[in-house]
Amino acid sequence: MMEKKNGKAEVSVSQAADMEVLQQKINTYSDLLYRIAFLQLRNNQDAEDVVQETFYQFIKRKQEFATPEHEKAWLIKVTLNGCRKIWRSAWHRHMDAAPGEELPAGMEESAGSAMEEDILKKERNREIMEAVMKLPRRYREVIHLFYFQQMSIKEIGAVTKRKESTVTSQLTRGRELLKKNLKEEYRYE
Amino acid sequence: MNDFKDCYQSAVENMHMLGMKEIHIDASSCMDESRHSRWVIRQMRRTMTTAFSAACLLFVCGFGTVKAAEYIENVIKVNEWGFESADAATMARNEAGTAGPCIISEEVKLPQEDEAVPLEEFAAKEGTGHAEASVESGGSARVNEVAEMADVTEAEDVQKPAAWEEALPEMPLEEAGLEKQKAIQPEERLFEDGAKEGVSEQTREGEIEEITEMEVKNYISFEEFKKNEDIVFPQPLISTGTGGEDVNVTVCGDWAMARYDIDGKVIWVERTDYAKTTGHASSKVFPGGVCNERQYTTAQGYVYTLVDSVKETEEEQLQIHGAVTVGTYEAYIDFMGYTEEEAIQIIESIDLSEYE
Repeated sequence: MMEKKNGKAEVSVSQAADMEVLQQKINTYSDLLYRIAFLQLRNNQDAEDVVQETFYQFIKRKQEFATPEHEKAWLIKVTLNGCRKIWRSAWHRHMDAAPGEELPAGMEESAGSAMEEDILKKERNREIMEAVMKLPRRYREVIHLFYFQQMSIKEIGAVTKRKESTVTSQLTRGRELLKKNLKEEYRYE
Repeated sequence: MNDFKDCYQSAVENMHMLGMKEIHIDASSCMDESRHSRWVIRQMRRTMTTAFSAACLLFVCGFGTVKAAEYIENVIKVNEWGFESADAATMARNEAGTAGPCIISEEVKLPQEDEAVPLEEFAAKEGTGHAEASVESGGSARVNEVAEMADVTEAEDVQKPAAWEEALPEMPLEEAGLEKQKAIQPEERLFEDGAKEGVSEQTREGEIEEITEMEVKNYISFEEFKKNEDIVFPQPLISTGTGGEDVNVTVCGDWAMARYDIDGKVIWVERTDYAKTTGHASSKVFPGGVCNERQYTTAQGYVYTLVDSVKETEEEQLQIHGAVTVGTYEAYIDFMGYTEEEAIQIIESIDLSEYE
């Protein structure tokens, strides 16, 4: 009896440890992964589902990573794959919402009452996000990983399973489209 | 000039402006097996919906393509009296429908007692090799050709109708439940003396129909035909070595016929192009009926349907009739006085691939 009870106790302890490890990973990476997923799917519910599923895969596979960078790259890869599964469905393609439509009503009021610099900054941020959201998904992916995650071409290639030359050309085309869509000129290198 | 990287990072940090909400994911919610199952099921549903939509689209497109192809495809069948042909859709409808009274073309006017002329007498009177096949004994009797016979004899000193004309009222087109014949074009026939015989439109009693007049062109040699016409009409390679052949080609719209008179034997090669029609149904009737239906596949892979005319007497010459459909064309060939082997040889010499 005591042995059985000890067996059950051991399982509980193991599960608790897993949960604790998982929670740490969630605290570290959830924001990052959620932004990536939202940028791809433009939908809170789907983005949350994808992130939860990513962490589910993470704990189920119990994969060992050499470095935290490898771990981060793996999580980003799984998140992007999860996003692809959703946007590949014809239903989702037709249900894709355009950027700017989800702008909260209070935004305009706060813009009206903020300092001029703040207003300009917010307007620029909005313009940039709208321009990036308008990009085709494969360019949007690369732009985000390069400029926000600050990943190298090689790392982006590993995560997205594309050749480096493909990533480079997609980055170049993404920049060209952004230059066309953005009123302000930016330095992209 | 601002650095895009800095601006973009700032924009992403403030992505809530695009509706992104702050989330707090709990480890227990991630580990929830039921949530995972719902995710898997949702993915499967999406995949199945996409696959089903694609399958439906393929089915509709494929079905439409097949139906369109069937619509164009011509079908030739053999009945008791000869050949009946139609596009696939019309043929299917005919077969599905019940056999009802057949409406023979308006061109057929059953000759009265004092108007009719025996076939043989008529042919002899004209003394030409240009008479239409229908007016010769044992020749094929297309409905339109019967009409010509009736009209031409108006001016003649006619006698009692010949046996085949008497058979006309009994012509079992009605019994066979054939569809109405295709519209008949009034034809002009050029006789040896150069006189043209106009053919007036005749209608069966009680029927009134409009007929569109089409130009009929008659050529007394194949060279003359080739010089003046540019239509697809492959011919058999016939050489007698005696120089005793006589060729006459008639063209009327999409229909053309060539007749070869060689040493007392006759070959008719005929074809109709249905490319411009949206549906058709026609028949080729041989007085006395047909028998011995068989198929013959040429070296090129085309399949002819062959029949023999029923001989009324033993002395009668063997008549073999062949029909084949290639692309939008229907082609017929009729032999009089040829053996089966000779007919096959001549059939093989026709290059039907020209119709493709």
